[in-house]
Amino acid sequence: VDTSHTAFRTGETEVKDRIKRLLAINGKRSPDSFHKEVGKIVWDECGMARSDAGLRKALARIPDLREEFWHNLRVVGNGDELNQTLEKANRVSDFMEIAELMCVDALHRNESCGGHCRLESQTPDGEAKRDDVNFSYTAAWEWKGADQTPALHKEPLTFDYVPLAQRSYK
Amino acid sequence: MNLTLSIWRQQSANAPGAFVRYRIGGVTADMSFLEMLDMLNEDLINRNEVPVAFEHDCREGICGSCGFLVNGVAHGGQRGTTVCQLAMRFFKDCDTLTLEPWRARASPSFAIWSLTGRLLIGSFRPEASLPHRQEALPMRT
Repeated sequence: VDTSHTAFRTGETEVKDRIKRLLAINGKRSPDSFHKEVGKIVWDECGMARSDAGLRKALARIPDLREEFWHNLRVVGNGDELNQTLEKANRVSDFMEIAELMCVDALHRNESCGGHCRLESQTPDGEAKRDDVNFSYTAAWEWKGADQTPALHKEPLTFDYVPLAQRSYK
Repeated sequence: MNLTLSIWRQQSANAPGAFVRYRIGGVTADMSFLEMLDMLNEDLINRNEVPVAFEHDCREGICGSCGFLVNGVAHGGQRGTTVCQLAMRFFKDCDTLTLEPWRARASPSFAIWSLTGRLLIGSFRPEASLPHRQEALPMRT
C-alpha cells in the first residue's frame, strides 16, 4: 500500500480535517485541563471500586465535558510544525471516548472481577463477589461512531481443568 | 518557590535558536521538574503563547524518554535520576535555571541524542535572545 491508496487518502483527509477542527476551536481551556478533569471523573467513579450510581454519574458528566472540549479547547500554534499541544489535544479527544466506554463497560459488568470491586457485588464478609454465570466471557466493544452505542462482542471462557471459585484475599 | 527559567527555544533545525527567559511562581518542593514545566506550559497556553516542547512518557524514571541539561548538567545532576524524577526540592527560591537540549557533535550516540534534543524546542522569540549563544551548535533532526 502506498500513499496513492484510497485508504491512505481517506485517512489523511480525516486527520487533516480533525487537526483543522481542533485548531479552529480557539476556546479558553488547555488540553491538560480537560485531561485532568476527565481523569478525575474516571479516578473517582471508575477506579478499583465502582458503583452503579457513581458510574451513571460519570456517564452523565463525560459527554458534557466532551461537548465542552470541542467548543472551548485552546490549542496554541499551528499544524505545520512540531506542536505538542495539538498532539495532546488529539490524545485527550480519544481519552474522552475511552473514558466513556470504560464506564459503559464497568456499568454493564455488575459483578466484582479481578482487581475491581463493584460495590453492590460483595460477599457478606466484604470479599469481591463474582458472577460466573453471567460474566464468564472476554469482551470487546465495537466503536460505532461518536454518540452511538458501542456493540458488545463476547467470547466465552471455558475452563476444563480448573473450576471457577470465589477468591479470598484474606 | 519563584524561579527564573532560561530555556533554549528553536523552531526548527535550520532556524536560529535562543534562550528565552520565563518567570514562574508557585513551584512547590514536591513537584517533579516536568510538573514544574507543565505548570509553565499551562501558563503559556493561557497567555496564547506556544508552550515549551519537551519529551516524556512514563514519568517514573524508567522509559528514558525525557532528558535535557539543567544548568549544564544532564538531568540536573542528581545521581541516577532522570528529570521526571528530579524533585524541585533540590532547588531554592529565586534560582535561575538554564534548560537546554543535548548537543554533542563528537558523541558517537549523537543520532539518539539529537532526537531527544530536538524536543526542547518551540517558538523563537528574538526579543529575548542572548546573542552569544546564537552560534551554538544547531539542532539536528
